[in-house]
Amino acid sequence: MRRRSFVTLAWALLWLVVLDIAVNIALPYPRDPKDLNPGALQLYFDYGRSMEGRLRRGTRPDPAETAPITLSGWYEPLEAVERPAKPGSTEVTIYGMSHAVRLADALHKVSPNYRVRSVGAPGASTNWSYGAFLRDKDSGHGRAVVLAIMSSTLPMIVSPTPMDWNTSFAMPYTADRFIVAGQELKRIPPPYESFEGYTRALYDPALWKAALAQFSRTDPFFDPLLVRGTWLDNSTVVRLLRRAWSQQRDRTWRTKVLTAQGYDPQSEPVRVANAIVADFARQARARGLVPVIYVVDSFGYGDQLYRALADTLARDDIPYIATHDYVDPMDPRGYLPDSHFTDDNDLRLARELAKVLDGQLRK
Amino acid sequence: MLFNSITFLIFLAIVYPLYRVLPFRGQNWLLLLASYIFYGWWDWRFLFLMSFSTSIDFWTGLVLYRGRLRLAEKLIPAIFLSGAALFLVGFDASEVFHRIGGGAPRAPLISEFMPYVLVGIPAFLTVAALAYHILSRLEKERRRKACVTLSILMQLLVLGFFKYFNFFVDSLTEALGELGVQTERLHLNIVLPVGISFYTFQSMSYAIDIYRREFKPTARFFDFALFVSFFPPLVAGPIERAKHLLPQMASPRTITADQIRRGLFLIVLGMFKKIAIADGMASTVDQAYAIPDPSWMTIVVGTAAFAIQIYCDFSGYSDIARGVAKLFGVELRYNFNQPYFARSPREFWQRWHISLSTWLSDYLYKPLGGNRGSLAFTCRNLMLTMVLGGLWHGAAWNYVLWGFYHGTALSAHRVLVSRVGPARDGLAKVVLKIAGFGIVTLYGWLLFRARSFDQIATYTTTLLTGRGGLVFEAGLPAISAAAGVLLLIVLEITQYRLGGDPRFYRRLPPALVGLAIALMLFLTLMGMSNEPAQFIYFQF
Repeated sequence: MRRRSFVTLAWALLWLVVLDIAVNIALPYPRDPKDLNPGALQLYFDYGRSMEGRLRRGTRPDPAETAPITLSGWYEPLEAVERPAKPGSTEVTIYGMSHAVRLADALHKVSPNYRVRSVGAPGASTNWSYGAFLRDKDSGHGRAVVLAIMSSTLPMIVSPTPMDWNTSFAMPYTADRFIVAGQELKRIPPPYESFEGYTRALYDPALWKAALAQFSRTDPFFDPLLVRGTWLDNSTVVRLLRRAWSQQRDRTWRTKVLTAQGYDPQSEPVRVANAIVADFARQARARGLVPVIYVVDSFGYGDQLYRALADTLARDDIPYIATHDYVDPMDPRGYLPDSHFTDDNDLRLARELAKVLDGQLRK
Repeated sequence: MLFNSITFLIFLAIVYPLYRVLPFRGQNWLLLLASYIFYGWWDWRFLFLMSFSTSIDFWTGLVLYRGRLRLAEKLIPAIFLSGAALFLVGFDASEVFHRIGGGAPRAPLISEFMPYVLVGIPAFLTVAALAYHILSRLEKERRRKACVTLSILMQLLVLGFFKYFNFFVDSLTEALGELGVQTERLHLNIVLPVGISFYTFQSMSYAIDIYRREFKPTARFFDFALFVSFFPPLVAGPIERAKHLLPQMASPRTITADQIRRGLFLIVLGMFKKIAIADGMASTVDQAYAIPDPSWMTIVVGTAAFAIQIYCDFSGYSDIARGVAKLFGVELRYNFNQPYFARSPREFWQRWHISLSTWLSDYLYKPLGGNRGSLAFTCRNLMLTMVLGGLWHGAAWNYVLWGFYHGTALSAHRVLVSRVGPARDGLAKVVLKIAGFGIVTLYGWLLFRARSFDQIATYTTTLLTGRGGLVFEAGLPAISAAAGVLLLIVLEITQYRLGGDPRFYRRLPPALVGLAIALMLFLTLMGMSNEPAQFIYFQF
């Protein structure tokens, strides 16, 4: 019996090695950095690759050859999507993640009154969006600005790059890190803000080391186990383990910030979020713009994000639109499988935003 | 503490090596401490409830058996209980540990309940001494009855307050409201202690078995405390019997190589069921049952996914509990035996949550008269047992309805068998019966998973009318769950074809067993990125 146990154990280990190799052979990740849709299973088994490994595989110094996602979200140059002008319309700029861009598209469709610009980055947390607003020299051409904030990425508001927290997609763009110091909101700019700056750092060991050192100092999400690449990236089992580790890290962060009673008002992300919302309103008003906050309740969340911001919104009389008022965050039919709102719901939210803007601009 | 957490792995990595080097008494002390840490990890305050239940049952068991307590038997539980009350309720234990860990003060060390503890403990001990004085002077049979009644009442009181108080008060208020009598709602903010239904039932069986003279009580308080709190089955079973578990606590244990091998296999199997399958199904089920008016296909797939989820979640817990206990040289009872291969309601309850169904059979169904009477009498007993069994699962009417549904199915089956006699089935008939009864079981799971009568009514109407058709509106299960279910089906069919032997894999070639283990490990690794859900039966 003892011998049989050892033989069985040896077979189990051997089969594990076979499975590890078989997955790599059967589901190879394409070498072409521009191939973004290699298939669900290829993506699934690649999620746990180290961030460095994935960035090095997808990045080329030439923008024409690099993976398109490595070009997104840079502050320098700050890219805005401008929708066609309408006669006599007022310009509105919306800052945020893909939800914000979809809202901008929907607003363009439903309202003849607004010419909509959007400044966005994939999965952008609100510190990125606020940093973009601060850098956007053209926002002054309009009369209103909208800042999006989303419940599922609220904890990441303290991270200067999705490279440290978004293990699903390797995105190298960077964002400002904001710190609440007393009554002030301090801004720490990232080590690089452009694709060129990023590739320069990535291919220069000293610069890359310095950039990672800054992320490690300023980003609570930075975890060398998830970021640094090693030869172990080639093992499917190690990638699965690393992915599980990153999910565990994300859950720990979420439970640190989001309790059964709602978002913890003392947690750093909530304090930073409130400070950003207040500062955004103040800065916008100083530029003669109407500020609006777009509170996006992700699927599975309730109205916790609105409650976390409610005092600031009321105190500073900041107009807002909170999606849970219109779309039940617990009903999956309100959302697409990729977690965006359905097109109908985006149109509905855009109509509500138009009403808020109409009311504010009439004042 | 969850079995499927890193915390538990660290906990086991510390406790197990220590356990292996300690002598028998040291092992018991270590297991007791480890069990309290395991339970207290969730909420330290409720350890007091467990120590209360332990002390009461230890005393009543001995007084029931021999009418007298020795000095040590009086003093040790009294000191233990007082200490538990002071430390766990009088002080804020979480804050104490926080400060020991070097944390900055968050709250006062002394809790708001300290005055109640300082008055309550002497008062309780006085009442207990008085009760002992009265009980020990009673005639033997009266004393035995009084003790067993007292023990059952105390357990039911604790269970009733924490689990059913709000349910009964709310139901009564609503019923009176329907009759036009307006009353003030007395809904208390009560936290349900994890696993309370499991350990109270375990403790109840102790007193009843002594009363039935099937078992002699232990005079060693801390052996008994370990029996009540032994951590592997503590929060979600199997519900142990004193006559099975207590002797293993009271005498030295030998850990065999076979126990370690089987234990490790059960842990791998349980983790695979829980992490790869149950957690991977959870999101599909939650989404399907969150839709107020889902399509026919959403209900069917959502309910089938729930049937898989609850089986893998609960039997996965039992497998891990049995596996971990084996590593410590302790044998726990079987709790599942391929329930979805049942061909009748009766067989289902011989295969599903066996430790609860045998508990209900031994301590409720048989005392009610069992099948020692007319068919109608038997059906009444079945119905009562199943309705109470349903209520055991949770304080909500849908659980009562679920119990009633299974009571009806059991009674109908009993009537059918009495009319046509037991059937001898060929393979085709077996398959048809398993599939047919599977549909009955599935509808039962809909009653179980639903959150209100309105939801049950809407979903049932949709099932009957086919509204919404074949559109599936919820998210798909995780890849680990989809692949895991296929592997589980292969494993279960192999086991079934080999006569249902739980150690069926020993009859297969090592290469094949190695492949099954490797696949389970690989799928568990894949499932580790699923959102981990708490074990469903923790809430019961």
